[in-house]
Amino acid sequence: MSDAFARFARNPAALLAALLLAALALAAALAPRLWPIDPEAVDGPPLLHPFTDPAHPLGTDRLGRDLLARLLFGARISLVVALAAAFASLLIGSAVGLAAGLAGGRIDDLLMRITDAFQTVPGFLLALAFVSVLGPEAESVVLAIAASSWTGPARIVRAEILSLARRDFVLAAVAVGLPRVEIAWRVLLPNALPPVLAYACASIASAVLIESALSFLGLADPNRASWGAMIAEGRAVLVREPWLSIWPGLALLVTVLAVNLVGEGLDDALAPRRARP
Amino acid sequence: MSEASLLLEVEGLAKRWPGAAAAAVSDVSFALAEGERVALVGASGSGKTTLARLIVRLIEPDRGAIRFAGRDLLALSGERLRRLRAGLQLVFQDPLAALDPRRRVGRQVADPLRVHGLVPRADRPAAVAALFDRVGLDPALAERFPHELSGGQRQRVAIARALACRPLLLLLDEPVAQLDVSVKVQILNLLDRLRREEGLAWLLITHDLGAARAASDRILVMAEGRIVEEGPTAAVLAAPRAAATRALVAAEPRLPPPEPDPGPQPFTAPSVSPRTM
Repeated sequence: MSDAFARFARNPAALLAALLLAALALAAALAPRLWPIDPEAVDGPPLLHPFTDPAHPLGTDRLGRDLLARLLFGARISLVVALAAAFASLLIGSAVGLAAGLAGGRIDDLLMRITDAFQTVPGFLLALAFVSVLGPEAESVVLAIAASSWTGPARIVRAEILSLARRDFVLAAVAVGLPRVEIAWRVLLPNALPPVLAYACASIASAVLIESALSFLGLADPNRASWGAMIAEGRAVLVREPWLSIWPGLALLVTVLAVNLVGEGLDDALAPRRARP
Repeated sequence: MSEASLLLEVEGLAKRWPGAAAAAVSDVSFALAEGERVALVGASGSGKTTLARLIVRLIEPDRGAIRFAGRDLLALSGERLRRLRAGLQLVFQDPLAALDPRRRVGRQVADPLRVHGLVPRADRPAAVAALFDRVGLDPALAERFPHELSGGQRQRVAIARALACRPLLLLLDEPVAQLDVSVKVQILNLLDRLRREEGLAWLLITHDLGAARAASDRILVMAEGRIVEEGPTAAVLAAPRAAATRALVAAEPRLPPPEPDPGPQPFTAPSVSPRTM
């Protein structure tokens, strides 16, 4: 594990991206202290241009709300929802993949057909359907994103389990007399997880995007600042006052890029034997 | 060999892989007495490893019977199978592949002590240290991961793990084939010492006739999934009858006959002793 850490640290892009994400997470967590302006309060003249008033460095929106405060509070929603969704999809996917890979036979067939069924529906449509049924709360957004993205981890874990099951150290664990449950838990799962972790990390990026897209469409909680909702609000004045959409757009771009770079760095660090281009 | 002391009886064992033209193991029968040293030799692909894995039921046979310590191994399942199987332990050819890469080796040696309830939790570290000591390893190495050990050390760990099960029979599947020459001798000596101390029997699978001569009293020769010749090792190898045995003996690398000693000479290279095992 320490080797993997060293390999990750040697990848400058991934390291930089990780630091950036850490800074973003910190800023989001400390938003009320760093920038103590209520993101929902009308705090200045509407449509104040950026860099004109030190009290509102990024300007204000059509209602006169501070954009920096909204951006920071939007990061909270985006990151928390995306992390929770990626974690939930990892959890569901690993459980399904582990069960399918271990049980084999009919149970495997059944679980994989269910996975197929989920995969045939485009992920975003599925999330859309979930949210429109469950309502706009953050929890249902998490559930919606998880429901549309657990299939990847499920397939990866199942494939890893099937290939691991033939390896000598798993056979040795059987021969020594480890019970099946313990082999699954102590031997198979830890060895199957690294590629899934890398995948899950990258899937945070798509969760950020799905969350933004849902709030752009007005399907997320309308009472909380969110990047997607900010872009949607800026759309009405996009031609004359583009910065309303540019700030949250930039935040999205940087976050998604950083998460993907970290995911790629993790993938390389955890699977060193794979040939790299 | 009296009937009472029979440890392992294999009768009519057969396995054909789905879709394979020929059976991997067909109609194999043999018996092994308590404390007996038997070698199983044959060219690669002759079914030796499959036979070993059939005997410990890592592979389910198509037909046949296996009796171990007077009990029908194929009739057991679950908990009783796990308990009986502890008595016959497999040592794999590649110790790096046979050890879980993500768990400390001490834990892996402690596994059998724990799952078979052999040693209470409080005494386990001492028991693991004692096992490491018995196989000639520094107990401090228990905290290492497999990739942090040398090939010989790994095989010693694997042997310690097998011993932890308190076996009556070791199935040694080319236990030294992947080790350096000097380490090979050490491991074979270690195995022989342990066998004498514990009163173990073994089935040594090898294609190295030198190892078979040194480490077995009786020999089974396998070719194309069948046992084609059987008898006292020295007699069989001195006067092979089956074609497969003759081929193995003919293919054995031989050192040229020793040249007459020309007397002391300056600057000679150190001589290599013709038989180190």
